[in-house]
Amino acid sequence: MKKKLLIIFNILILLFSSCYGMEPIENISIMIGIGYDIDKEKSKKISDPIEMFVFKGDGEIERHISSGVAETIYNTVNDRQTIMSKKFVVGTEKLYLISEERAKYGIEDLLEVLIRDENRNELAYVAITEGRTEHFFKMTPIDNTSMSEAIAGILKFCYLANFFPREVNIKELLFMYNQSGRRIILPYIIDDNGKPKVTAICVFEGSKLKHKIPLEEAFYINMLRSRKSEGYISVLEDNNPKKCYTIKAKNFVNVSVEYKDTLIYNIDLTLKGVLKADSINNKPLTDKDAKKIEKAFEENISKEIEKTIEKVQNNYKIDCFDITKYAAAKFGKHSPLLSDEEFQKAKINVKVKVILVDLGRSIK
Amino acid sequence: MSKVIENKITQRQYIFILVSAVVGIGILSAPNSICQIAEQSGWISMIIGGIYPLIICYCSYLNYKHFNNTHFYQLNERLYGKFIAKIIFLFFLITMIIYEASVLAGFYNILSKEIAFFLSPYAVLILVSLVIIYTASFGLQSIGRLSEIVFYFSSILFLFPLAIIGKGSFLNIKPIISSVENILNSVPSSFYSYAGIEISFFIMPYVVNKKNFKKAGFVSTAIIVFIYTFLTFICIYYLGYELTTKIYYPVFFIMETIEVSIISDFKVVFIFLWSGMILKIMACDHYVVSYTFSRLTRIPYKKSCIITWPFILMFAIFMIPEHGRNVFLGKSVPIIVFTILTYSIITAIMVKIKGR
Repeated sequence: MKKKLLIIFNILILLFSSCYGMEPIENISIMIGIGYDIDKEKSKKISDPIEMFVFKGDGEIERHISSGVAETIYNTVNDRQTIMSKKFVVGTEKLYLISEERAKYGIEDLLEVLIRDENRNELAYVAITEGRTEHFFKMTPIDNTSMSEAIAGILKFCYLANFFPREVNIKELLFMYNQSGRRIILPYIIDDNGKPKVTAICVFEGSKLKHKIPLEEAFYINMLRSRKSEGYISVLEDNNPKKCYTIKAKNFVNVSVEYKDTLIYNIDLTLKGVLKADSINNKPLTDKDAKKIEKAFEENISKEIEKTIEKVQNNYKIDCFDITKYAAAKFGKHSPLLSDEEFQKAKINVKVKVILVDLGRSIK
Repeated sequence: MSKVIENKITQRQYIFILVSAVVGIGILSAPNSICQIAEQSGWISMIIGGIYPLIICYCSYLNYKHFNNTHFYQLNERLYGKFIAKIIFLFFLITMIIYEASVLAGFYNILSKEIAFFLSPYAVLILVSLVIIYTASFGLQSIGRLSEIVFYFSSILFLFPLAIIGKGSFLNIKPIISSVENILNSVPSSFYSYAGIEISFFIMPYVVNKKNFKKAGFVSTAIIVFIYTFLTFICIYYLGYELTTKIYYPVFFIMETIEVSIISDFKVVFIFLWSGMILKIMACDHYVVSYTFSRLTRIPYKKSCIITWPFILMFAIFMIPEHGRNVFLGKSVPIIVFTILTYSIITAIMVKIKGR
């Protein structure tokens, strides 16, 4: 009796738990990149181009770009499906692109959708583009099969230089938007002679794009806001490119905050570097020389960072360094000290320390 | 009837039955509900809320101490008389049916939402509940063994969140205590996560070795509280309380963001292992349902396993959309939890007066 029951159960479970309503891969288009554009003048404002892989059989794969125009984000699916001959699969996307105009208009709806829709891929990369995102998807990829993979690759490895943070994905976007004392900061991509290129960072106020900071300044902002990222720093003598020190540095940041009439942030920035070039001394180095080089870097970086902080506090007037979260952790998540006014008045002391962990092959 | 009485469990099985009767759907949504008021200090409320299972375990220990191996029904009869004992058992029967049906409905809701959106609710509900009845019909002893084995397997589940331990930020946890009032206010909502521990009253007489019986209750409470607190802490540490309160199943969000090279979506692995725990909690609940039913109506245990099935299905279908389930549980569970808390405290006092 027991055995019979067991067999019946197993047959029932097999019968009722098959993949009903599923399609073979030839009938499926796999989404790899989603863009968000806007046409402010038209009645149907939202325009979302999507890049997808289409399987043609015989192992042939092609990419298609299909744009949907409608009133809201999900209504674009209505528009898109009317011209598509394949089933649409969500959840495999690798890249989200948001056009600059759309970001200035606000992306509240997108941020809500990303939380509510559990099928979205939280590990997809995200960036802001100059001009329409459709233009970026329509470029010809050189070393990848699709533009989405190409741009996702750029964003994935951008932490290896310029001190970009390690994670530039949807998950981090949601964290930056929701956690108190933080704001959205995303990379900005332009079309550089038919190739995508990161040239700036975009700082948001709430869900709207506020400032676009070019990479020269963003270099030092990134140095303070990211953790354990990498970048190359050089100190030039007499502005002569042939005479310089260069290090490849990894940044370690420690922030403490206190309140005495104004907020005081004490930032300990430690750069652990490997010396890559020293064409000023041009000889095998000793420990004494290393100390001298460290000192030169510390002075140079401190000066640049001070300049950057002054510019951020006076020109941009919002916290681009991602340090208000430390105040939130100390004074409470609803504290009035987290406002932009308090940030403008705040005193930010940065103590730079450069440690050369390796002097290269040429040592004494 | 006679089969049930023959059933004996060891003390270790007792511990694991208690753990598996509590840890279920709640581990996924508890961080969300506790952070609504307590914000980033939710995990402290979770620890304080551990007082509820502790009280219940201690009360069942007192029952044992003063009345020895008297069965729960006879104990109630001796304390309150025949009529009131019946009412109490009816209350426990309804409670357990609600618990089991809510887990069944919640299980379907999660399956349909996260992985198996193509299955019809009736196929899932009927098949899962049939498997449960089949398991529960073997009695307490096999449930005890099952609980122990499945716990060892599914405890791998709690190692997954360790993958993100380096990626979170302690800034999300700080300030550790911002408002004592909020922490205390959200303690009752942690009681609801610990609901299900009442099973200890029913299985207590069947434990063979009662040498360190007091300790067994404490150990199981400690395991339960640790699991809940750990998951709540991880959620706040990684997501921040702001996102934890916005996402109903924050644990799934964490699972989705774990990057493992071969597995594309870690959530599916998590749901697979977690399903074992769900089947276990329902088997425990169904044991109590059939036990109370057979005591009340004097129908043999195995038959009452099947007779109670329609009730459970009915309640479960009633709770199918997740928001509907929340409305129903939001109203019923607080009443149940506080009734049981009052009942067990009164019983403990009565036992002290009337017992040896």
